[in-house]
Parts: sequence; C-alpha cells; structure tokens
Amino acid sequence: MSSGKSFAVLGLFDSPDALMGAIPKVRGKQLGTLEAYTPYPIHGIDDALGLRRSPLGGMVLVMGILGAITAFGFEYWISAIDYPIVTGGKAPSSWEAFVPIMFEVTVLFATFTAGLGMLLLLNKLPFFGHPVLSSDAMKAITRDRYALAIESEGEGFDAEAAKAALLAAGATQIEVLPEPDRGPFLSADYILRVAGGIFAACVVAGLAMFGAVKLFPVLAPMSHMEDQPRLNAQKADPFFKDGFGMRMPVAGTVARGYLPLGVASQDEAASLVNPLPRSPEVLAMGKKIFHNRCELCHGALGNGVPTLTAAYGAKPANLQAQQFRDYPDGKIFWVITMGKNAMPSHAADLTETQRWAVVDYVRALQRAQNATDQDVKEAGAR
Amino acid sequence: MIDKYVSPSELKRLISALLVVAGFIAIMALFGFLVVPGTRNVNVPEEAAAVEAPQGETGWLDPTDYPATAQVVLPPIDPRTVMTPNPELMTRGKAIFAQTCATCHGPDGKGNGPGGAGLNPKPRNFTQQAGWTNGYRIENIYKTLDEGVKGTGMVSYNYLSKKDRMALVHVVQSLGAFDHGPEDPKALEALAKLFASAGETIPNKVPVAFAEKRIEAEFHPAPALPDVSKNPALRESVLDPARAAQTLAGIPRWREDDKAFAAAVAAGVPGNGFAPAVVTYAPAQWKELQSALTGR
Amino acid sequence: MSQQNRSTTNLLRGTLAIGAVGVVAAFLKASPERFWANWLLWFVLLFTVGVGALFLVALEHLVNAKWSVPIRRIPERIATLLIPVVPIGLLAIGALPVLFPGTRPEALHNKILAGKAFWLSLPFVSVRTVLVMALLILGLAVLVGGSLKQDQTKDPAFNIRARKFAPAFMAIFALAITLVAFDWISGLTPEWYSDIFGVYLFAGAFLGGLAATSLAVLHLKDQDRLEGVRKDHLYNLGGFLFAFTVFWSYIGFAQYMLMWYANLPDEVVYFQTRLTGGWHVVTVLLAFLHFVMPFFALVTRDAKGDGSRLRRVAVLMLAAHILDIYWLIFPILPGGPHFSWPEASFALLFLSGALLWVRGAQQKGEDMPVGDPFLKEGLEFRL
Repeated sequence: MSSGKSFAVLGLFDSPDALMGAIPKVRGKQLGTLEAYTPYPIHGIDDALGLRRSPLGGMVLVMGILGAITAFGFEYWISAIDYPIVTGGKAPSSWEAFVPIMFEVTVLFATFTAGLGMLLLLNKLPFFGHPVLSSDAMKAITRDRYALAIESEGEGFDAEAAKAALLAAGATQIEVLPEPDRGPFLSADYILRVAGGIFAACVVAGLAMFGAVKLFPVLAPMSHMEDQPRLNAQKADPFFKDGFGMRMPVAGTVARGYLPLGVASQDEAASLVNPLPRSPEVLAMGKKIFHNRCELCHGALGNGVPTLTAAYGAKPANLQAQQFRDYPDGKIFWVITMGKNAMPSHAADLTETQRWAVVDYVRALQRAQNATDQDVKEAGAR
Repeated sequence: MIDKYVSPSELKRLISALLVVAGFIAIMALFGFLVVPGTRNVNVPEEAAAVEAPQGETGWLDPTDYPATAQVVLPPIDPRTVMTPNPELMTRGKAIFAQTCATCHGPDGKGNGPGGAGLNPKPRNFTQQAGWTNGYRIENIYKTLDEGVKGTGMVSYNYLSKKDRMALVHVVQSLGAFDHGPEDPKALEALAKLFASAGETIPNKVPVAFAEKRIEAEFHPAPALPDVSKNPALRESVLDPARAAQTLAGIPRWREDDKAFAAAVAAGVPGNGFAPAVVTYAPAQWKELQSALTGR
Repeated sequence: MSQQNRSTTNLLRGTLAIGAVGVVAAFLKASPERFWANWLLWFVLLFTVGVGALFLVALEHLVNAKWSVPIRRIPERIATLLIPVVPIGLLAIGALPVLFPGTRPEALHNKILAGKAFWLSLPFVSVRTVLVMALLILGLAVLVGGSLKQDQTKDPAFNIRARKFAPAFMAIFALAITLVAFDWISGLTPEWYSDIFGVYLFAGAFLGGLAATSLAVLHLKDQDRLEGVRKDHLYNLGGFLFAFTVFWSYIGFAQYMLMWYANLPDEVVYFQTRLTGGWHVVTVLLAFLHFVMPFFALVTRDAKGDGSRLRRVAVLMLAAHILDIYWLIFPILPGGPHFSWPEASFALLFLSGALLWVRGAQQKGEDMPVGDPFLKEGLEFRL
C-alpha cells in the first residue's frame, strides 16, 4: 500500500523528438533515476538515458555453451559409458550423432535464459504494483504519448524540483506517482485466481476433448503412423514366399561379439575349458541363474526331483547321478548351450560367462550331495 | 448473508487456505492408500524366520540349506525279495515308472510319452517283442537301467537303488504281453550275488553353501600369462588375460602339442579370453602365439 | 586517381601478368586434370562471389529493405564480376571431357551413369551453362543497369520495376546456383549425389558475396566515399555474416551427418575422400576457418559493428570460401591436397584480375544510389 510519499514524477511529451530533446536537459540535473515509457521502442533512447548494457547476451552465451556441454555429457554418458550400444555399426562414442541433440539443448538453454532471464531476473517481473500501471497517464502512454519519469533513488527525493525540471524540458502534463505497492506476490487473491484459472482450463479442455471424441469418433490424428505397413514379430506375412513375417538372417551371419561354439558334438565339447575362476562372485551368479532357469525342472539340488516335470512331459536329468558327476565341465556347458533331448538351448538367454558360472554352481551342488568325509567333519555332521 | 460475518477479502483468504489444506490432505491420502500398504508388507515378522518349517524337497525352507550328514551304508537286500515280482515291489515299481519312465515311454509303455516325441531314436515300445537293444530278459533290462543305452536319450538310472531298479524291471516286463523267454539261471544267479554282496550307500551330504566354500578353497588360480600389453602378438590374440590363463591351465600338454593347443583354443573363443580373430590363424601364427604364451 | 591508387593498380597489373605467364605454363606443363581443376575452382569462386552479391541486391528489392540502400551500389559493382565469369565459364567447358566422367563415352558402360547420360552429356551441360549465364546477365542488366541509370534519371519507377523483378530473379538465382553446384561440382563425381548440395553452395556463395561487400564498404568508408554510412549499417552486415556462418555449417554438417549415418557406399565415398589421405586436415581447417573462427569473432554485439574486426572477419571469410571451393573440387585429383606453382599462378591471375575488375567497377556511377528515393531513409537508419 502506498505510504503517501511520492515515488516518481511523470512528464508527458507529445512526440518522440520532444522526449529525446528533454532527456539530456533533465538528465543533467541528476534528480533521480530516469525512465522513459513509450508506446514503441525509440532508436537511441537507451544511449540517451545512459542505460547500462544488458548482461543478457553474456548470460545467453554462457548458458548456450553450458547447454552444449550438458547435452554432450548426457549423450556421451548414456551412449558410451552407461549403456554402450552399437547402432548402425557406429561406435558408441560417435560425436556426430550427438550434434543434433547438442544443437537442440543449446537452443533450449539459450532461449530459456533469454526469456526467463529477461523477465524474471533482469526486469524483476511480475511486479503488478508498479505505480505507472495505475497512473492516469497509462492510457496515453500505451497510445500516443511519450513519458519521462524521474524516479526516487532514496530518501532525498525532491518531487517539486523534478516537476519543475520536467516542465522546463517541455512536458505537457505532469503526474506525481505514489510509492509502489510491494505487497506480497503470492496473495490469497492471486492463488485463488491461478487455481481457479487452472481448474477452469481443465474443465474446458476436458469438456472439449469429451465433445470432440463424442462428435468425431473416427477422428484419428496422424493416421499415417497408425496405418503404416509394419510387421509384428512372429506374425504371418503373405509378402514372403514362406509366409513367415520374421526373416532369418543371411546364411553365415555371425552376431557381433559372438561366435558359434567351435565344437560339433557333446563328446568334442569335453575339451572346452571353464575359463572362470571359482570365486564367490561366479558361484553367486551361477546360483542365481540356476535358481531362475534350471531349478524348476532339475530341482533345487539338481537331483531331478521334479516340480513340474511329470505333468509337463519331461524327465529332467538327475545331475547328481554318477555319469554327470564324471562329466567334464565342457560337456555340461555344451548341454546348456545346445540343449539335449527335451531340454532347450539356453544360448540365447545366457551369455557364455553366465553358462560357465552355472556349470560351476552345478559342481557345487554335486559336491554338496556327494561330499568327502573331510567336508562332513568340518561341517559338523549331526 | 455471509458477508455480515466475514469481509470478501477474508473469505477469499479462508477459501484459499481451505484449498491448500485440501490439497495437502489429498497428497496424504494418496500416500495413505497407495504407498503405505506396500511398505507394510515388506516387514516380515522376525519370529517367522526362526521356525524350521519342514517343507520343500529336502524338508527345509531353503532346500539347499540342510544339516550335514555323514554317509550311511544300508545293509544288502535279500535277493529273494526282488528276483520275482511281488505286490509290494510292483506297487513301488509302478509309482517310479509313472514318475521316471512314463514321460518318455508312455503310461502303458507303448513308447508314446510326450517327452519322447522329440527323441531320436524313439523310446522303446515295451509292448512289442522286436527290436530291444539289450534284450528283454530280467538281466538285460537291469543292464539297460544300470548303464543306459549309449547314443540315445536313455541315460543310466543307477542312482536308483537296486531294489527300485528291480521293481522297474518287473513293471517293464509286465507291460509286454509277449513271452519274455526262458530264464538264464546263470545270469540271475550273478544278479542275486551282486544284490547280496553290497548294500546301498547314501553319500555324505553338506549344505550347498558349505560345498561352495569348499570348492572355492580347492580352486587354484592358473599362473598368470606373460605381460600381454608388451607383446604385439599377444595383444591381438588375447582379450582377457585372466581367462586365457585359466583356459590354458585346463588344456593338457598345450605347451608341447601345438595342434591340440590350436584346436582347444579355437573351440572356445571368445568366451575363453582369446580374440575371435584367432580362428583364422595359420599354423605358423598358432606356433608364434604358443611360443609367445610360454614366454619363450 | 591518387598516386597510391595508381601504384596499387600497377602492382595488380604486374601480378596479373606473372599469374598469366604461370597459367600458360601450367597449361603446357602441368597435367590437364590439374589445369582444369584450377580453372574450375576460380570459375566457381568468382561466380559464387558475383552471384552472392547480386543475390544481396535482389534480396533488398524483394523485401523492400531501406537500411541497405546507401550501400547498395557496392554489391551492385561486385555483381558485375559475372561479366568476366561468362568467358571463364565458357572456357571451363574445356574441362568437361577431362574432369567429368559423365561426358566420356565409357560412362555408357556404367549402369548408373548410363541412366543420366543425356543430362551429363557435354552438349547439354554446355547449353545449360550458357542459358544460366544469359539469365544471370539479364538479371544483372535489369537490377544493376537500371540502378546505374537511375543515378541520372532519378526515376522512382525503377524501384517498382526492380521489386516486381526480384521474385523472378530469385527463381533464376535458385536455378543458377543449383545448376552450377550440380553440373560443375557434383558432376565431378556423378555417381555421388546430395539433394542439399545446391543449398550448401548457396550458403557459401552468399557468405562470399557478403564478405566481399563488407570489405568493399569498409574500404570505401576509409576513403570517405560513403558519407552517412554508419556503425548501424556495418552492424547489419556483420549480423548477416554471423548468421550465415551458422547456416553454412548447419547445411554442411546436416549433409555430412546423414551420409555418415546411412553409410551407403555410393554416398559415403564423398566424405571418405575428404576425411582420409591428408584431406582430413583441410576438412578440419575448413570447419575452423569457415565456422568456428568467424562465429566467435562476431558473437558479441560490439564486434558486429566494429569496422576493423569486421574487415578481418571478411578477409577470413573470403579465404575460407576459397578453401571451401578448393575442398569441393580438388579431392578428385589423386594424391592428397596439393598447392604448388600452378595453383599459385592461378590465384595470382584470377585474384588480381578480379580486384582490378572491381576497382574498375568502383568508378561506375555514383558511390551511393543517389537516384533512389529511399536513400535518405536508408541513411537515417538506426538500430
């Protein structure tokens, strides 16, 4: 609320030239901060008023560069560090692919800095209590008059002297403005209006959407994307002669990072060597995979005591049997990789490392069920 | 009416305060209904874990965590109780047959079980006389159960006790309505002798976690390879020196026999720590790699 | 003409003579491929600078810009470079059988080239080039000739006529720059194609014309021949220059990235040659000179209106434009980037020739379009 003290004196001029002419005259007297209010921007007025250069350009530059660095950092971290993935045969850290995102984020940061920085930071908006907004001259300023204000810089503001200076400079009309209302910004009134506005917008949007869907039930935006001729995995497709939608890779295709097992039969696989150390980590990995994938049929101890088996028409091997205890690691690995009898291959689901870890865990299970005397002694048999 | 008691500005303030409180309550309610019930279920009461409820296949809550037991040797069975079918034996045999054999050989032994559909050769049809690999007499069927049939899906079932195997023999014979031929007294006597000579052994058992510790302790890491980064031949061929060292430790005579070395290494790339490129190596390159690995 | 001016003219004539001797020697001694590649470089370069300046003039008429009226005579004079470009371009037809695989008879055995054999054939390319040159000379006559005539007649009707002609000229311009890009640069590797290539050359051409204009404006301003042209006008020139460095790099990178991503053998060969075998240095240098340096030199507000900085950036920009055309044409010669006496003599001949021509053109008409009714408004232009 205004305290009755005068804050600024506003002088109205009839033309921009009169305003520009008045500025040096008033400025010389140093009565307070000069501020001009005009219906449109006037060339050269910032130099005449002696306004300092806006720091906005520098802010935008810094934030733009920051945006580029941020985007590059994000992209690099995602594509090259956190989840490196080869797309289109390009290295995960290919900078070329990052440039469009860098460009966009640079623009985003720069525009947000320019817009919000100007409005909130530099212009200190919103400020509804500014006295010029509620002045009598406001209408004229926004139409065809040019105002020059001498604003108070502190206690020693001499409104009478300011009045006289403006009149002497050729002002046609003078208005003394009260202190600005610097009441709290988040007033109850403001909250109520905003909440009401949002609510009204929701209601209107909801009703409009409801009506649109009711009236135009077949209105499909971007129908091209819906109707695109695409293939769903595992669906039939008449386009190909064999009727399968999914295509086999070209004969002889080898997936990047994978090679087919270099042995042709289970007997040959005996020569494969388990390259993993029998560390707690490896056994923990094997245990987890065994629990998730093997236990359902082979049983928690691998002894083929079934949970599902008979009902599902399979007789899983008893991994505790003498013959499997005598198997070399490679033969077990081969079975996990290639499958055997009714057991399917797990090569697609488990990496080579994971399969070797399962082999190690199976060894642990076999040892647990066929322990040495020393083991029992140390474990403390009942 | 109401503006007799409150001014419009006060009313606005009241309503906005009400809105804030209502929003707060809504958020709290959201938490109360959606989030809190979930957190409650996480807390399992402590005493529940202490109960040793016998369940699961080993009778313990965690089937891999059972008390260690020393091995038990059961006394030999009396051959007379198993050489000829008796009701008790047949009941037991039928149960095991349904559990273990029927998935492939079919419930009636016709070789048409669902598990056998994908097998090659197909499971034996017990109702027909022709084609039995080992023969269909008692000692023949017992041999098949004991050793399996090599090259087929029929593995050895010698983890079943001798009595159980004999029960299965009688069940299998009972499924075929043909004449299973004259008995061979010599073979039967040998079987009876076998049964009488030794009893079953139930092996030592330790918890799986303990077994894991034991095999970890018994594991000896392979000696390290020569420094890979210094030798260009090794740098190209070896992806993971630790794995490669472990692999080499498992290949007998790799230092002496370069053919065996090449075959064994090439079979396991790239999981064995060697680069995929090694599969294209010429014999001279293999020899070079071999000598680089031996550090010569 | 002052003493200093005369001595400069004499110096330029001397370098012109040396260059001419070198060019004749190159014709006799150097391989024909190298000779014609050099010829093509200077043909495309002078064409782009001239047509870029003419585009600036036409743009002013098109949007009825007032700020640039006081400096319009400068790009008009630079645009007269198109007149010597006509014989240079006609002689460049001699390069067709040497450098352009599409004009050779064995092109018919190539499945891709056989399909465009007529389009790539020597007669059709020549006819197109002549047609394009004729259309551009027509545009030059209307826009520049009319403007020069207006100095005497002071007839405002020219402004209306020019404004009506400007849209038509834009179509001619688009056709001309695209055809030159596709026929004379893209045609060197006819199996390779890029839809955006014409736009790429346009960005370079506009930058070249703009840089030459800025340089000439600053030069005349130093001689006090452009009274009333102020910082504000320079600021706009600098702003254009700044904005179009970004446009050029945007187009250039977009073209690169799509080809890099798709990695199709017939497309990627273009960048393959420019990123290997010594050319990668030129590529990086080009990105640096054509984008990074001018961008950061002009990014601040003061820099755009600062005459001395703008002069340096304009020189840099012209040099980068020469490098750009060099980078476009020379990778077809085997053996990495080379610069030796043939290139130097060509540069001497054509640079001093172009400078002499522009200096001669400086005497044409008044320094400002005094007959233009908007001149006063243009002089009053404030930011």
